[in-house]
Amino acid sequence: MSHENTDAPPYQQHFFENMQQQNQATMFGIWLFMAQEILFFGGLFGAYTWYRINYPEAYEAGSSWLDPKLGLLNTVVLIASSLTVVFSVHAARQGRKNGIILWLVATLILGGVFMGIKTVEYGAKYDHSLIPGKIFPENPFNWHGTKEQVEAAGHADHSTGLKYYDKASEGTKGNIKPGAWASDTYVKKTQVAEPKGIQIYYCLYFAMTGMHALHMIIGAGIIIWICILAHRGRFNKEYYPHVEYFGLYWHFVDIVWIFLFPLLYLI
Amino acid sequence: MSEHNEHNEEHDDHEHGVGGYVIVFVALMVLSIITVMASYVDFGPLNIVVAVFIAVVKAAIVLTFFMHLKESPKIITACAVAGFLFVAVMLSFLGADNKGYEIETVPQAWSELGW
Repeated sequence: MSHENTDAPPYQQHFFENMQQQNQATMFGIWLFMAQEILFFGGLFGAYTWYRINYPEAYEAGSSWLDPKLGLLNTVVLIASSLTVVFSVHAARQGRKNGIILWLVATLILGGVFMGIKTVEYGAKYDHSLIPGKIFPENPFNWHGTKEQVEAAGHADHSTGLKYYDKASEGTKGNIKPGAWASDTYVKKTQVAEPKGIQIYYCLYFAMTGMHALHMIIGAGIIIWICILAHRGRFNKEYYPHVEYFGLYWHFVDIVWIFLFPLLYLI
Repeated sequence: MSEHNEHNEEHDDHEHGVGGYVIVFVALMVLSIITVMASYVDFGPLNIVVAVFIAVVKAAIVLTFFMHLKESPKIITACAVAGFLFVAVMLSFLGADNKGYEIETVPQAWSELGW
């Protein structure tokens, strides 16, 4: 006890020689966690790849029900939230307590917007009977659409901006998606697509976006915690690891979405 | 000396920091729009390659600037690269190892669950 460095700041753990060592060790630790997260999501992307190799048409058909406009909007929202996190870390570096809180709250709001849009999208999947399996017994997965949807075939679907595609009919060309998706070859492919493969696509869609969303919910909790710590004056110019490491975590969540968006929405 | 350094860092942060981050943000936005536009062009089998390539560029930008790999020790960069490298190895083996399986076995197992 007596040999302890009396100059050490109170936030230096006793088992570190100095703050530089503590910073390097904690930074390395958090990056090991990041590497683990990369491998964790890598497994999901591996499942995606394997089934995509085996059900390419099903992926194309399944993704035609996702709205790239909402996906792009969420991309913009999420990258903007990464920017606000960076501003928060920047404020921490300058020792501006209110800056930390302000930008973290902005991040929280943008994260909420992302989750809101995601909720709208998940709701649309329910309406389209695209929840895999029989999780909702009253509305099991049905690629051909529910009765009401088949009746409404050809009419605009206002909830997503897409039109209902009645697979039972003779490939009503041009009502799936604007642009390349609605080409002749596309419609032919869709007609032979295996509904089972499409269910696998939606399993992966919910697993990957769901795991991503879970990370965001956990991140929201961490934001609130850091805001409380910042409010209590726990950080200063030299000591703000919570803010910095949360930033790394949030950017990683952003990177996952950067890959999810083209692979799920744009294929 | 150390005071001088500190001042310099702060100065750098202020000059390049906020402005630089906004530039990075704009670059990411542009790349996102390019991804969407590219998806309307049919490159045939290269569609996925183009989409993943743009995503990799975006991820690299986020890692380098937002996650500060640019100014981090090499061990940190090695840590990040190792993660992505092993995912890449796994995915490439998946691509090479897609023949010779009875694909139907998987859906059959699923169908027992009433699917």
